[in-house]
Amino acid sequence: MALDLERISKRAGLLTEPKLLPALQAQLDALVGYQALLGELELPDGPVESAPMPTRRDLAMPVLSVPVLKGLRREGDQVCLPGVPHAEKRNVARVIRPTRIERVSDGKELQLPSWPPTRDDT
Amino acid sequence: MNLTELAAQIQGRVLSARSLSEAALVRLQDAGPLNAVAWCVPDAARVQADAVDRLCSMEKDAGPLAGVPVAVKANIAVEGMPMDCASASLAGYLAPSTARAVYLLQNAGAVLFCGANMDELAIGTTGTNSVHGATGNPSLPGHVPGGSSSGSAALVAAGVVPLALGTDSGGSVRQPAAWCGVVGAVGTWGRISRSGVMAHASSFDRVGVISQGVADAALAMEVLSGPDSQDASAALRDVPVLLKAASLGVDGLKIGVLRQAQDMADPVVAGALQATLEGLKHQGATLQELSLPELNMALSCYQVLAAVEALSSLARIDGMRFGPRGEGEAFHQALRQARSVGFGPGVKQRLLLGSYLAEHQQDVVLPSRRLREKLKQSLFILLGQVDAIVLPTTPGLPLKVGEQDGGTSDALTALSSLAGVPAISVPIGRGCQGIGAQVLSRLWDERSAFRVAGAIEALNRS
Repeated sequence: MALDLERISKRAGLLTEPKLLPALQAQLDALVGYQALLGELELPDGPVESAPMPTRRDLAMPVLSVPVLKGLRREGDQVCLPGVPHAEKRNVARVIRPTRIERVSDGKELQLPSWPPTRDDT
Repeated sequence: MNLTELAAQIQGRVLSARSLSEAALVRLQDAGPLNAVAWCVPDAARVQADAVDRLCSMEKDAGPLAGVPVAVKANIAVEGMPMDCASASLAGYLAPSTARAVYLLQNAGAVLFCGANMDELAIGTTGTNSVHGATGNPSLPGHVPGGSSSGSAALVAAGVVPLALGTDSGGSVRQPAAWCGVVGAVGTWGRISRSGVMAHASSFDRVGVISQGVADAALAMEVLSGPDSQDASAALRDVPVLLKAASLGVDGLKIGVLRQAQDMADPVVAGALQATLEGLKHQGATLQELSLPELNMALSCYQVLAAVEALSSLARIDGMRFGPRGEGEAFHQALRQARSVGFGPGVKQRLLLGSYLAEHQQDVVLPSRRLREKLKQSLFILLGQVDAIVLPTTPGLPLKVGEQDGGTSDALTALSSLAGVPAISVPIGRGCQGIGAQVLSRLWDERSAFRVAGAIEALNRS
């Protein structure tokens, strides 16, 4: 499996650290055998369950919400939209009002949920 | 004395919650070298214990866990307490609210003592990848405790607390429980609310319990089960009756044995499990050999899907308010630097794997999702033929400090994680060897798993 450490580090929101390469390469080497076995299996066709969509749990997650919702409410602050890789520039947004942000890439405005969420706030 | 008896003595004022708390605090100090604690609140524990004693003195019901000292893994929110998930990236973060699971424990009378050390961000299987340092194994000195709920398992095994909360994505409750010689249980995915719990890989994450006995785990799971308006994935189902099931025995039950799991296990582990199965047979259970040819692919399947999910889940940690700040002209440069300084090597490896796999959706990720579906369906069919399946919790014995196994200790716990079925690890073998028998049952049928787990425990105590 070919590996471009710089590219995958960037997508992971990390600096490129060559010292991480050997362990990562070992993981990928192990996956080669797995991939070969996958190719031999008869796997079900049709739609498959993807990772679950964000739920109320994710909205209520303090770590998710605090940096975006509590800490950065000054106009002009830049924030990353929660739940998506930060390294993607399209996910960077600018606070334009305490509860509104504007996506830098296309100027689209988004509403931030209230903070803190309450137990009855369903 | 199990938790039901303990709570009854508190309620009946034979014991006081305060004296129990003071004793637990002494044990906590004695257990310092284990490095199993991330934070501790002795004064708050005393206040809680006194409140329980006041209720008891007024002859009011103090709850099924009255006065029971508990610990929670450091990725579970307790309002005002540090929730760094053993990561430098979250240094200084105080939880602004309390997790539903903790609220339910306290509501049942439990006294919260401390946050437990863990592998960073719930990624790891050794208990050594933590900003707080490595956790020790009180049952097998010189060996790692397992992970990622390392501190929770160590605190219970050391007798500091009789009950602790952990979280389990690929085996993080069951594996350390096995290696520390205690009981670790997870219910069906969705049985216990995860609100206020740091997400790692959402389709796998479960809150679980670690305890000294099966009945204690059953009682705790009864307390913790139920829907939650803060977690849409918490099931709208009645709370199961589990405590009684733990003492019903296995007479008349059909127990499945996975041939491939026995083949994958170290001979010592396989031998201990075989002896346990013979014991269950003597108690009236019928054993049935089952086959799941793809079992050896379960771990890789889990690793692929968990890495992809972790890449998204952990994107929320951006170094904006907590942990080390990054420098850079552009926002994303500062962010990359902050994350690189804040995350340890285990987390970075997981993120890099997830990032790599994001480019291999068609040839690795999608087939892995299909394999997960196939494994689930195959397991459901097998569980339809028996009341429960028993297999080793880990294929090997606990690692010595400094040894690495590349995460293969999750090879047999990953199956339940992929399918979301209940799983309980119970210590087996002579003395404490760090070997666990893992009991799986059908979705929402924790009762059968607790029945078999209770019988295994009784065998090993006889």
